[in-house]
Amino acid sequence: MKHALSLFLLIAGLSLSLAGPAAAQLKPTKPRAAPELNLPTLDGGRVNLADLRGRVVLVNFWAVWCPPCRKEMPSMERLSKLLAGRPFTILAANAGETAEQIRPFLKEVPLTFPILLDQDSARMKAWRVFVLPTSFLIDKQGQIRYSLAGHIEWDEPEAVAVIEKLLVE
Amino acid sequence: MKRLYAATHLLVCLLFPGATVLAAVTEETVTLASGTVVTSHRYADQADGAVVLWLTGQYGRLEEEHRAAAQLAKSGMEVWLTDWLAPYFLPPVAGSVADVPDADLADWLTHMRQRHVGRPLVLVASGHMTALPLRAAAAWRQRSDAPAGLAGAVLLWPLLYQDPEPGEEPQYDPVVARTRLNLAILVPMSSAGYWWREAMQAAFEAAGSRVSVSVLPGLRDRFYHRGDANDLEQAAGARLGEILAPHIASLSKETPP
Repeated sequence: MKHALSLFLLIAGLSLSLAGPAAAQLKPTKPRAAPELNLPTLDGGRVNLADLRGRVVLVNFWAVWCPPCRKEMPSMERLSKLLAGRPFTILAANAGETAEQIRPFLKEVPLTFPILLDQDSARMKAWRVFVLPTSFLIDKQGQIRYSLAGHIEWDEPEAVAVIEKLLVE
Repeated sequence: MKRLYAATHLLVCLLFPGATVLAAVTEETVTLASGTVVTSHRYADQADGAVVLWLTGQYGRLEEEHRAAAQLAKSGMEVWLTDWLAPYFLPPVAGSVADVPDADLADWLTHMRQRHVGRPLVLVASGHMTALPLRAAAAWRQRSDAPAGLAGAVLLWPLLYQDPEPGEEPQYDPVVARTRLNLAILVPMSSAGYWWREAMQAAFEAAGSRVSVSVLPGLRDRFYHRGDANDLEQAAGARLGEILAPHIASLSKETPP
């Protein structure tokens, strides 16, 4: 009896594990100024978030070692293409990895938006990021308006609608 | 039942040749004042060294933990590997940790202390389960009849945030502020926790704990039981006992803070 119950609990637990935690979703936040984000890029350039006023910006903190980060990247690339020509930018800030660690992943999943190198994760800490991936949506005035701890499919209608709302403000 | 248990271990031994599961293992039960019956797998060979109380259960039975317990037993330690969710029929998920009563944890520690007089007790846990040894120690310390203190605790990738919100200051589990222990924190380098290890150390030290933090290069949280474990993680998982042993030995020599 005890073992039958243990088996039931294990199956129940595994089912919960496979189902995963409650689906992550973009959460509106009290608007506040985005912290500084001025970093070198993987291709040798440099990006300063402050220079992107007038654009809606998706700031995503990620790492190659993080499976959910890798999982959502293709949807970010599709989102980037979906909103091409609109005042929208994606910045993917890599937490603490080297170019050599990042490049093999980009061969598997080619990305056209900038990969920022936060090699000492100082920006990750300044942005108070505790889990990866974590994303922020910044409005045209440089204010954080939405955040998300976890991964989503960024080109699904719910996420696109939130971004569209910021784009028309 | 014992025959089934022995057969299971023989099978595990055949499947995992590196495992030393035939190091003496027994199933032990402790009945607490609340009536709760806590079952542990006790690994002990000579058993004159530290007593390692390993609190687990979030992922059900993990063979890597049993193998590590056997490795530690071979080095003279005595390991009580205990699933703390099973006694309450809690599902093996992170959220169940909050439903384990502090009084039972403290009561169990009292039993362990009385059973192992004069030997250092070292607690071990990982991830969300790390809240349990800390709650056990904090609740035990408040008891007027608590005997001599614990040697300390080894915390593997402790996940002690309370619902962290992106962009907000971290709020730790209140037990962090109630903890006064010698702590060895092991943090995988490929982990968001790696970048916050100093903040966690500071939070523990502010409450009076003595903390050493060790980084595990190339590994991720849950490295020894990940479905996508890479070669390095599998190798580290196979020698988990070796990874833990020096930290347990070091804590065993410490006096409580």
